[in-house]
Amino acid sequence: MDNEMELVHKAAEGDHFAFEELVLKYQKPVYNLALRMCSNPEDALDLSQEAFIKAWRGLSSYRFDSAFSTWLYRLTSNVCIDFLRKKKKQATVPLTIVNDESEERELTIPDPAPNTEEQVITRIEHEALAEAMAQLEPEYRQALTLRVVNGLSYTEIAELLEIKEGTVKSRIARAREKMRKMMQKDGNNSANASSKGTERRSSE
Amino acid sequence: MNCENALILISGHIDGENTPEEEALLRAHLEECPDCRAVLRAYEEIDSELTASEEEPPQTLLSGVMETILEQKRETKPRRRFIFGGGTAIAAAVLLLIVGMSGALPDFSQGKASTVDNPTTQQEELTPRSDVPVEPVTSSFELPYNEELLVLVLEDDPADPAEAAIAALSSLICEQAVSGEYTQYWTDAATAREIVSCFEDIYSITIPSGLQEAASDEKCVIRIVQPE
Repeated sequence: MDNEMELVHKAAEGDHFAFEELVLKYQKPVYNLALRMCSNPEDALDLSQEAFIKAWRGLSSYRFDSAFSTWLYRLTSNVCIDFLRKKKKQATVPLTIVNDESEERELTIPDPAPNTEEQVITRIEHEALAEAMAQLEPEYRQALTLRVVNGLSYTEIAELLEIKEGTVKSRIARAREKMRKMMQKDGNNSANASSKGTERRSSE
Repeated sequence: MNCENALILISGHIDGENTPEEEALLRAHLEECPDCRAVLRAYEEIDSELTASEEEPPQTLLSGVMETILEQKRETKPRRRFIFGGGTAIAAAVLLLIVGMSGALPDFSQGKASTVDNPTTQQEELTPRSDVPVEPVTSSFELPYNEELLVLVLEDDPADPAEAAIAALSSLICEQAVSGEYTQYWTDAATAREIVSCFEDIYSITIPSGLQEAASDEKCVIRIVQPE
């Protein structure tokens, strides 16, 4: 960690060789976070690059009070969430109508299936998993990925997302349960719980 | 505890984030509930699939980031430590930077030059094209020019020679002019850009567009010339 701090200090002073070493170190977890968040490799590449470039520019604002990895993953996570929100907004079908003053304006109808793009997974292995992830709400995807792919603790995730630890725990649990149900339907998950398992039942 | 309440504890158990009391509650429930044991196995399988499906990022991730960063460095030109020499600045190795295509190269060679025996395969690949006008040369030294060869000429400082100060040069293939007037290094545009970018920080030189736009693996020649 000492060596990493030294790299970060140097990079903050403008040493791009030091920053390059940081990119080499973190490119795989950053890329996979973006990949799970936005569900396709092209977007993941663009977003990862954007995250690192923002990190370079924003290094002067990194205050060394949290781990560099947490700071970097937060940055990446925000870039992805912003991208997903923008993508959602843009899923509209524009029509032009002419009003009484003979002016044209666009009529926007919200796309009834906003998840359609996310369902197009081409080159990712483990397709059932990838599809299931893509169908999760972004906050659930984010929490589950940060935990399992990026290896952060609930405390670190809570700090990163600026939410309570209890919220982190329940988001991750909900994400897992939704994933289990979706993959169960596909028949790809061998360890299926029986349908009774989710009914209310108390045991002593 | 019922199965619905157990789900969050099963998830917490996998992450090692349950309290001891929660663990005890969960263990008691699992002993008696095969469905929840199956849920635990399903969650573990999802986790291991997530981990197994991690991908290597494409190589362009790193190169794309570094190219953008170096571009931005050029634009802002802040004061920086010199990077190559371990923190010590090159005194004055670069006063002159010329980049040209072969036809426009100023003639620095006045004596004979000997080439090291076929030092590079790069040299073998470059042969003069018959349709390229040959610049009249006053010396007998001939470089295998072609249209695409980029040449950078840097003026050296005998008090602080570039060969000693620029670590990257030592790993490049070089040939010496017999008259000692210049040393020539064969490399690619990407390495040349890196070398020049270190000088930029001190001397506010911008990478010439010819070099800037060259493909990373485009052949490039760096000539360190001795001052008059």
